[in-house]
Amino acid sequence: MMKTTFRLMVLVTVVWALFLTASAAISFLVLPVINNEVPSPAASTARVVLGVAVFGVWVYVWHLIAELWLYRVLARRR
Amino acid sequence: MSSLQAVAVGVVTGAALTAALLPVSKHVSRRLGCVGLDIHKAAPTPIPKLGGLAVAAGSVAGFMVFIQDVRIAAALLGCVLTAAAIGLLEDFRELNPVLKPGLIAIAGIPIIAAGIYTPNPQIPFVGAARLTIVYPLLVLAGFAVLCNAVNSIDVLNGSMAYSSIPPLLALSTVAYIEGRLQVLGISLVLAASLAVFLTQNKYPAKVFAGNVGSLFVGAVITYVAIVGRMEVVTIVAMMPQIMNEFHIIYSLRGLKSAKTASVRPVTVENGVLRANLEKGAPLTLLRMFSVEGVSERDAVNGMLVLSTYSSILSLVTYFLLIRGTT
Repeated sequence: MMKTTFRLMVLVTVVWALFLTASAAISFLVLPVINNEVPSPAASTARVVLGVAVFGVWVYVWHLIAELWLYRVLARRR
Repeated sequence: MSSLQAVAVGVVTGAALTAALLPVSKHVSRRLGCVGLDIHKAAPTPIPKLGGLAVAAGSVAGFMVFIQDVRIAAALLGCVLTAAAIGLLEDFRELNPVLKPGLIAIAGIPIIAAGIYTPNPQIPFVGAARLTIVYPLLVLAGFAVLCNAVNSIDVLNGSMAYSSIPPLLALSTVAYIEGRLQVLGISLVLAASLAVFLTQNKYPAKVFAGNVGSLFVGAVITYVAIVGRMEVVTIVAMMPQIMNEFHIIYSLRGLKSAKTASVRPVTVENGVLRANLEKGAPLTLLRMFSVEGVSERDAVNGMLVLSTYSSILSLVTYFLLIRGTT
C-alpha cells in the first residue's frame, strides 16, 4: 500500500508539472489576444488556435499518463 | 474582539453546532428514508446519508460569527446554500449527469452579482492576468468543476472529509499570509466542522455526508478560491479530486454517472477492494489505490496522504511562483 501511495504521489507530481507548463503556455498564447495586444487578426487567430491545441494535447497526455500509470506502473503489466 | 478572535469564536461555534446537529441529521435521514448502502463492506448496511446537513448548518453559523458585511454574507450564503440545495435534491432523486454541472454552476451567480471577485488570477510564470469579461464564466465553471470533484471523491467512509481538510488548511495558510482574514475564517470553520463530522463518518461510518454535504464543501472551497484570489493554489491542492473527476469523465467519454458504467472500477470481496483491470472500467483514484487489493481504511489513508501531498505542492506553487507577483 505504501508503494502504491508513493507511486501515486509521483503521478501527482507529474500532473502538477504538466498543469503548470500547460497553464503558462496557454496564458502566454491567449492572454495577449484577450487584452487586445495583438494587432494582426491572423496572429490573434493563430494564437487562439495554438492555445486550444495546447489545451487538447494537455488533456490527452494527462489521461494517457494516468492510464499508463495504472497498467504499467501500478499493475506492472507489459 | 479582534478579527482573529472572531474567527476563533466562529471555528468553535461551527464545530460545536456540527457536533450537536449530527444526531439530528441522522434522525432526519432515517425519518425521511434517506439512507444509503455502505457497499464496500462485507455485509452492506443502510447508513443515514444527510450528515452533510449538520456540516452545512454548523459551518454557516460559524461563518456568520465573523462576517459582518451584508453583501458578502448574502453572496456566501447564496453560493453555498444553492449548492447544498442541489445536493439535497440529488439525495432524494438522481439528477441528469449532463444537467447537474449546469445546475451547480448557478451557485456561482451570487459572487458575480455581488461583484466580490477580482478578475486578475495569478498564473505561475505569467503573473496576474486581466480577464474582465472571461472571469465570470470561469467562476461558473469553477463551481461546476470543484463541486463535482468533491462529490466524486465521496466513495469511501471518510474519503470526502479526509481529502478536503488538507486543502482547506493550505488555503488557510495562504489566506493568513495574504491577510485575507474572512477567507481564512471560512476555510478554518469548514475544516473544523469536517473534523467533527469525521468522528461519525470515518471507518466504519455511522453517517454519510450525502450529496448535500459534498456539494456544500465543494462550493465553500470554490468561494474561498475565487474571493480569496487563490485560484491556482486551489487547483493544485485539489488535484487528487480533480484528477478523479476528469478521468471518470474522460474514460466514460462524457458526462455520465460512474454508477451506470457497464464495468465497475472496483470489486469488493470479504472487505478487500480490488481494481478491475478491464480496459472499459472508469479510471478512478480508488481503482488506482486498489490495484494490489486494499482495505477500505487503507485506501482512505492513502487518499489523505495524497491530499496532504498535493496541498504541500500548492504551498510550494504559492511560495515559489505566485507570492509577490501582481
